[in-house]
Amino acid sequence: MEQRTRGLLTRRIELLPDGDQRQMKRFLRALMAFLILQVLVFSALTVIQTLRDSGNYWGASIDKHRRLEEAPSPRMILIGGSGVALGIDSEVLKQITGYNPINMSLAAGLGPEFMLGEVVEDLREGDLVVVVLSYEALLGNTANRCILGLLHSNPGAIRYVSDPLKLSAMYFSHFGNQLRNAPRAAWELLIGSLGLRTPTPGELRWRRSSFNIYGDVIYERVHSPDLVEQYYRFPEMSDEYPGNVIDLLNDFQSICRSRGATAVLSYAAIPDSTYSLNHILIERLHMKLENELRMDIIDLPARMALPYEFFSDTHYHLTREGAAERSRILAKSILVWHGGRSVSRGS
Amino acid sequence: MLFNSFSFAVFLPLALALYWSMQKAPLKMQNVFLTAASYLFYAWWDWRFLGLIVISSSTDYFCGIFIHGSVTDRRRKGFLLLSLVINLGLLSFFKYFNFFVDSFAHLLSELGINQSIHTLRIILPIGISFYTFQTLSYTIDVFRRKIEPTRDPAAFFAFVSFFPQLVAGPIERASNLLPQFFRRRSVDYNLAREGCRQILWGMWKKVAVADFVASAVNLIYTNPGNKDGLSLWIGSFLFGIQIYCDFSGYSDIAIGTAKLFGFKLMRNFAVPYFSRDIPEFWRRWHISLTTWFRDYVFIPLCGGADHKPGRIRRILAVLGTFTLSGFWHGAAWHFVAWGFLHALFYLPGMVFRRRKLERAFHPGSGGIREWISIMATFIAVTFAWIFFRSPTMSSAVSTAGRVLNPAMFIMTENAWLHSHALGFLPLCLMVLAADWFTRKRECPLFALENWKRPFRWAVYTLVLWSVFYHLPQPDVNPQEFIYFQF
Repeated sequence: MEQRTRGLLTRRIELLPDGDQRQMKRFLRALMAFLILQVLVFSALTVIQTLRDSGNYWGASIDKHRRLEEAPSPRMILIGGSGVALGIDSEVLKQITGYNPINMSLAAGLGPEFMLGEVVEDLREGDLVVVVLSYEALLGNTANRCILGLLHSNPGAIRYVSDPLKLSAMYFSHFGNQLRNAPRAAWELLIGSLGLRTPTPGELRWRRSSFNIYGDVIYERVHSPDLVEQYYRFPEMSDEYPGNVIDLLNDFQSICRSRGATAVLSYAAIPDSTYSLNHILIERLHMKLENELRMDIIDLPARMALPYEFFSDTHYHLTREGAAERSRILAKSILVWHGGRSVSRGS
Repeated sequence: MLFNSFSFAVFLPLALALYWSMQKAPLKMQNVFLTAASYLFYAWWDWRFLGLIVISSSTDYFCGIFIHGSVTDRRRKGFLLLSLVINLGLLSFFKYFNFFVDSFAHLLSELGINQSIHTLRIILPIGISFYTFQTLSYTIDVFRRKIEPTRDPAAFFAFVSFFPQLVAGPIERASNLLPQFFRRRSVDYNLAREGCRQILWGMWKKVAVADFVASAVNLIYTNPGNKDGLSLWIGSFLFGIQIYCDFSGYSDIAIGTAKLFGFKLMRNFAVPYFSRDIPEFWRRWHISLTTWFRDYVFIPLCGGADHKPGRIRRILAVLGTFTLSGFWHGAAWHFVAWGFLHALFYLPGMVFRRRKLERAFHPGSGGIREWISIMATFIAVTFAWIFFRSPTMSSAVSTAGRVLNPAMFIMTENAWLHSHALGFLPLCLMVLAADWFTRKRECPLFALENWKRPFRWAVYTLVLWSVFYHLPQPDVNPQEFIYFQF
């Protein structure tokens, strides 16, 4: 292969007149050497970026997977976006249901396929998997634009990517961004280590250490009316929606069954005002899911419509009080689904 | 296609590979290829305006031949006039039509005549001012019998549309560039290496400095009426750095790219911010345009190259040339005012200088007096940038009034702005220092010539990654070069 490539290059150069050949070869040699140097620099900067990013929000993925491997049964695995990461109080769930919660959620931008694929390897008999997808995802938005960010912090998570070709295409389409971020990471690390840079409030909040052992975000969150849209309108559902998501969930349910685990669906918590605005759409969606989904739906959308004051900075992120309240509702739904008994008391 | 875009990063190596693999093909084929590549480069922006380049090129190709072949002066003048009418007609329509209509409507309303006059929605074709001037210079030079017309359409069309300098110069003279299309270009390791360095340096100036500093400039020039005098001075200083790095960065990339194809373009900037007076500034800033205006506007206004004009005529010629130069930059009164202001700054040196000072082209040997001259020139140029950057004439006048009013310096609510904008100072000083210490070279990176390769490459690597560091976010398009709008 190498010989063939070299042969091709030589033939190209041989198209040049004799006098130019030496000059061109010399130029190309220097250019190739310089490019190789830049590839090495890029690799080094990418490693530095991974070191830096392992401490950020996505870095929590490493801890979540460790807990997924180590947590004792009976386990409740929570899958969802940031609305679950910032919307669940696992202590409350544990107390009421008796399950050992593992909150695997990070961001809806990872896409349902990746989020579901992440836990498949570690499913055990008796696991309860609670899937809480955002309304956008249930309505068909399965974008996974955040995967590259997560892979920088946790390169090992690449094994959960179902389509490496798609990932490669995504990597190359974001290559310019990677070229931009790699030197920034090194620079920030350098000036940070010299004490010349203080982390931004966002960086202080969105980092790995903001999670508790269950995987819930625990930093203090207050209701910010200027950030949370009180009446958020969801995109309309077209006729073919949400076929792809339903197929994904049904396939996931089959895998869970084959491992002796059970998957159920719960709805995302949203402000009651937003629910009122979208209730026709949401009810249509609920009907469709009830008809087509082979997974149990353990609550109703209206039950997860909470007071507006429980939401911190988006219509999915809850304050700590909101997270506790939502967890109580979810725990009760699980108990009802279980027939009224908590797991620790024997089901 | 922008030089700082991904598409250009793909286009350039492909074009180079194809171009050099045609070395054994006839020269004409190479020129046809260059024309095709240049048209593709231009069409990437908007293919519909390729027709204008073709019209302009065809007009001057034939007018050149007919002027040369004409026996009588009347016929020669007729063909020159035809070229001027077509080229300047296209330029006037696309660039100045709405300006004239607006100005006429404004004049009528000032006279108390209220007429509803409609303007047209005309898109300004990118680079039209540049290639029009380039192709015009060819016809005028043929008319003046300075050059022979070419009968090789492939070479001529390639000369007019040569993509590295098509959209923002340097505005090449036929006497320099056209003969290069008749010579076989050979691969020259040193020239190609120089080209790469110049491209790298130009990219750094554009992406890492100009686009970066632009954020502070935009902040200050958004609602300048709320800013204090110091903020506006800082804004004007930063804009001076921005436009220098933007435009000279473009020129460096253009010259460097041309070198990769075996062509040598003229130098367009020569450390302009170290000029000792305004005339010198104009010998160092946008050299290709300044020399164009000197040869085709100033000298004719003075009565021709063989004529020694009187003082009044020279003053009028300076005023006319600079005002026209301002108008060339943009169809708006604040550009005209900018040109006129430079003329006013230019005149004292011309009128009161008893004898022509014989100065070394490179500053640095005149001691403290020289530095005072450099500073004074820099301040004058910085003040004039206010007229260039302001969106309208009234805004420019108001801003200029504020920077000259001492009472405007006591406002303190812009303290954050000062500290924010001054955060860019180290970068600006770095650009100026690089220029100063390498002022005898065309590009600062050429000064590394005698360094050992590991050190040289370490610097290139730093510069390259500094460019990557400043790349725009993925959802933001790369910023256009400022001079594209002219």
